[in-house]
Amino acid sequence: MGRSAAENAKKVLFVIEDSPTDHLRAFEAMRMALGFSVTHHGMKILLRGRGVLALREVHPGLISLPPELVEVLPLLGDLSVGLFADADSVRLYLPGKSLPGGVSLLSEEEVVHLLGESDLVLGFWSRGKVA
Amino acid sequence: MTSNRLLLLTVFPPPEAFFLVRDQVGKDEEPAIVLLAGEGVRNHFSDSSRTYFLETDLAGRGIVPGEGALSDDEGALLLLSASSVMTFT
Repeated sequence: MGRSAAENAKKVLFVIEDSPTDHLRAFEAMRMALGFSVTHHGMKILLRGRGVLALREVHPGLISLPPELVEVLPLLGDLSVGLFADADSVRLYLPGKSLPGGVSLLSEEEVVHLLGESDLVLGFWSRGKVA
Repeated sequence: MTSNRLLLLTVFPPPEAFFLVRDQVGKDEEPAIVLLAGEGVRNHFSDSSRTYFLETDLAGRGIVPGEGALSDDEGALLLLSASSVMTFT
């Protein structure tokens, strides 16, 4: 018997390490993820490093960023995209802040497992150190 | 099923997470294949047995294509045959 479409679906994970206000890359990654979520059910997003700053309140108009910046993440949650944040990064960048509902914290071991079980990881990683 | 994980690296130097992924993810599996493209061809790894370069991108940076150099078609086939792909771009 053939496998169902859900069983055959690729497990897609977006990893975002850029702050949403440092560079438009983070916003573009979210928009791309929004597009992917239409055809890839069960898609996940992992916020890591300064990427977790997407979980705090921001007023994009004050810094000339697109107003849609604050709409994409809640929309992804509404579309049942799995939202995850690296626990170490949250402790470092958002100490004491309560996270929006629907965001799950992952230990480093769980992050490694999530990366390993994904068929396609689209990484928006922070830049390496220049020697 | 045999794991055939591929890491596509197009930046130089690599993001810090590249080394976490290469060394920690699937550490019980066969080492991941690394495909270097664009600026990524400037990277050098001591264990180069499973590292491949896009020939066009080497030549475009004045680097003589050597061992592990692939044509665009060969690079595309490598990507399509991988069981999982992680991008570092």
